Parts: sequence; C-alpha cells; structure tokens
Amino acid sequence: MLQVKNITVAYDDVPAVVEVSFHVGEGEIVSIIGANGAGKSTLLRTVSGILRPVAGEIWFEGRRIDRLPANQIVHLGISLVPEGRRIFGRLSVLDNLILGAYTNRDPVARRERLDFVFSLFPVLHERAGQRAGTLSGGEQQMLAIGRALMSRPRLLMLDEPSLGLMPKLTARILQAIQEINRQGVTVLLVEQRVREALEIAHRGYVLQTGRIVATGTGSELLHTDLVRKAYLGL
Amino acid sequence: MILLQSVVNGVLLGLVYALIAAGLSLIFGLMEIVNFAHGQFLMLAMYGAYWLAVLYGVDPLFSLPLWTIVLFLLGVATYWLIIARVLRAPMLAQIFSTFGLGVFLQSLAQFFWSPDFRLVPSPLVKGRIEILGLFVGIPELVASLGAVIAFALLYLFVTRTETGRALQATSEDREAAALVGIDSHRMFALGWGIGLACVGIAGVLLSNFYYIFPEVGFPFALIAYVAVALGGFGSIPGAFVAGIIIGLVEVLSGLLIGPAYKYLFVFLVYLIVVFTRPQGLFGRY
Ligand SMILES: Nc1ncnc2c1ncn2[C@@H]1O[C@H](COP(=O)(O)OP(=O)(O)O)[C@@H](O)[C@H]1O
Ligand SMILES: [Mg+2]
Repeated sequence: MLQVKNITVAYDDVPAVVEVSFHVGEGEIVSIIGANGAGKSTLLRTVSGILRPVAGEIWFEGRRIDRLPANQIVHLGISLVPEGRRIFGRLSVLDNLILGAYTNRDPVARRERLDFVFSLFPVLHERAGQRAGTLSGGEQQMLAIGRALMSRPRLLMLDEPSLGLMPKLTARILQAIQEINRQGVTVLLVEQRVREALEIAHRGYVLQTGRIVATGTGSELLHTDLVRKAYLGL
Repeated sequence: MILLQSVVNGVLLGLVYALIAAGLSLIFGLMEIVNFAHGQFLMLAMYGAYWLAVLYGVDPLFSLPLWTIVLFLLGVATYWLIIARVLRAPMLAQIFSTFGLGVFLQSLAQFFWSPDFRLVPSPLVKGRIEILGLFVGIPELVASLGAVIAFALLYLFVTRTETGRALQATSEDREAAALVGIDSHRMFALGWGIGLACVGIAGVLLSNFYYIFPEVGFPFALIAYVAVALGGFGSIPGAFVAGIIIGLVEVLSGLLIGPAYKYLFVFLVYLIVVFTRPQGLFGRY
C-alpha cells in the first residue's frame, strides 16, 4: 500500500533521515520505534507531504506522492495525527471534526464518519460544543485521532499518540487504534513506548539516528537483543 | 450635551476605524504579515468612488458593491503576485514588499490624479439629522452603519461557514490545516481578498464626506495598526472594540484637550495597553 524507497530528508542540509526504506501493507499495523530525535516525526511528516525528501521516492497505491503538497495527499486517503495533537484549540470539538472532513463535503458521508468517531470516543460527543482547547490531554488526543479519521483515510499515521498521557489513557488510545484497524484502516504508528507499540503491531521497524537498523514482526522485535537492551532496559 | 455629542461622533468614527482594522488584523492573523499598503488601498477605493461619481455620475452608495469586489480581487492578486513570493523570505523582505507596494500606489495616485484635495460632488447622502437633541451627520451615520453591517457579515462568514472555519484553522495552525486538506495558499489569497474588501467598503463610505488626496490613507492606516495592536493581533472582535475605543479617545481628547493633541492620546492609550497587556485586549499571545 505504502512504499517508502530510500528517502533522505534534511533540515537545512543536515540530514535527519538517511536512505530509509520501509513498506506498509494493506490492513497492517506497522510500528516504527526509536528514541527521541531518531527521525520518526520527520519520516511521517515527509510521507504526509509537509516535508520533501531530498532523495528517494514514496509510493501510495501505485502512485508516486513525494512531490505532492500535504493538502492533496489527504485526498488520496492518507491522514496524519501529528505529534503534539495540533488540534484547533479555538474552535469547538465539533468544528474540529467537521474540518477533518474538509475533503469530503457530502453531508451523509460526514454524518456517518461522525457517528463512527463518536462511537469510538463517546467523550467527544459529550463535549461536542466545547472549545477544543479546554479538553484534557487525553481528550485532545482522541480529538486529533477523530479529526484524522473524518477524512475516511485508508492509511492512518499516528505520531506518538501516547505522548504525555498516563499509562491507562495510553492503553485506551492503543485499544482504539486496534479497533480502527479492525474496521479496515491500515495503521502506521510511531512511538517511543516501545513495548506497547510492538505488542499491537503486525510488523515493526527500529529507527536509530535516521536509519533503519532492524525490522521484523512485532513479537520478533520484542525478543531481539537490540530492542530488549536499548529500548526495554532488560 | 456636547460631551454626549462627542461620544456619538467618536463611536461613529470608531466603527469605520474598526472595519479598516479588521481587514488588517485578518491578514496578520492568517499569515503574520503586516500589510503596510493598507492605507493606500483605502485611498484607491476612495478615488474609485470619486471618479465613478465625477465621470459617470454613479453615486458612491451605488458603486460600493463594485469597489468591494474590485478591492477583493486586488487583494487576491496582491497575494499571488507579491506576497506568495516573499512568504518564506526574511521578515524584512516582507515588510519592504508591502511597504513598497504602498509607496508605489501612492506615487501612482500623485502622478495620475495630482495631489489636489477632492470631494465627491453632491453625494446622495449628505446633511445631518437631529436625534434626541444630538446632531448626526448622515454620511457619517451611513458609513458607520455600513461598517457595522460589513463587520457582522465578516463575523458570520468567519464563524458560521465552512470556508470561514478553514480560515480560522489556517490562522491557528497552518500545518495542521494542511493536514486536513486545506490549501493554505487559497486561504491566504482569500484572506487578502477579504481584508482589502473591508478597506474598500470603508474607503467608499468615507468618500461621501472625506477629502480625497493621495496621502489620505496614511492616518487611517496608522490608526488601524494601533487598533490591531490594541485589540490583539489577529483578533477580529478585538479590532471592533479597539476601533471604537480609538474613535472615542480621538474625539473626546480633541474636545477636552484640543484637536491638535487627539492622536497623542490615541497613542497614549496604545502605550498603556502595550505595557499592561502586551497581547492586546483580545489577544491570544
Ligand atoms: N524543524 C527542524 N529543524 C531542524 N532540525 C530538526 C527539525 N525537526 C527535527 N530536527 C532534527 O531532526 C532529527 C530528527 O527529529 P525528529 O524527526 O523530530 O525525531 P523524533 O520524532 O524521532 O523524535 C533531530 O536531530 C532533530 O533535532
Ligand atoms: Mg517526534
């Protein structure tokens, strides 16, 4: 579904991601794990079109997308839940969700998506009229995921959805991600919480200082020395 | 009584200031660029109304829709031809680009239309009426009513329509807006269009009772900058309140202390706000 081929991404000539290749198959949950500064966000931001790779190619469903701007990539069915949530704090929860469906103005389709998001996160329904900036951290993360789902993506990318959340809330979010995946949405997850991210993943990649150093199924990676020592502290 | 009269005059004037400031604030809130040509676009709208009245006998009231649209299109064109090119340039380049545009427009006006002071000959709205013992100039009343209507429409557009919400989203977080599929260039162009349409409406309404000359926009723009800072950068309700405050301060200090000092007090209010509440009255920073 998604093929990333040998991409290099740089900030002002300083490469943050170097010759990285990976792929995500239809229906999978793929996790990319790595420490702070490894280049995880850079990768997702490049796939979503916010950043341009200086070399390499990105293909989605047979189409090359690495030259397209972010607002067009959403139309193709890729949605990113950005790091730090980035909800529109001054707008209401409902307005945030409606803007999430900006690419699809059909009211029936929107209603359907909204029902799906509300069934996934009932608290968003309760708080629909509230200013999004007044939500708690966990609720904001749910809103950010809900907003990304409103465009009916076939590939949902999440950048550290557990950031700043208590373990219980993290579990709740990861559970929702699995539920979303069961509904047929392919998931690309980026996390620092290595154990949780690999437990729910079909496959995973380990990113270190801008390069992929290991790959395998979620449970394979959980049992490698590299992951156990460097990321789980065992 | 004379005090009350001044209050009324101040509010009427302030509403027009508010509309001019709203246009400026909208553009700034959207993309952190100050339109230093704001006053010159006001001047263009005033001349536009003047020339249509003189050459074709079209009253400013009737040419208002036309100039609103023309200024909107000028805003869109300004964005695509100039602003889009300096979007990633250093701030100084951005300042020079709009400032230079202002100087250019003003020179153009001087060259083609001479520095003469002009008045629209016998506009439809003229004279004054007495309401409860207060005298209100009809052109001023029409201008402020027009400003209120324009303001209300702007507010409804921004808060109640999908495109308006996309505009708000872009001004809050450009990148997150792009991630939901909003084309920020289109929003910026729209913002410039609306911003200049506000100025166009204000200019035409002012042309009913104000002298028209190439530098006429300058004091209005200056006050609009103060109003934007006072109301809070990017806040449209802020621009509304600040415009009225400035109108009041200007007229009241002119009455109580002397017309020569009226701007002094306007800027004094500004300084007080800047020192006590740097983000402005309705600011978000
Ligand atoms: N906007 C930026 N400008 C310059 N360097 C950046 C920027 N964003 C990230 N970097 C650098 O790129 C590298 C990768 O960052 P990032 O992708 O954010 O990592 P992660 O998401 O894995 O924590 C880091 O060394 C970081 O300092
Ligand atoms: Mg990151």
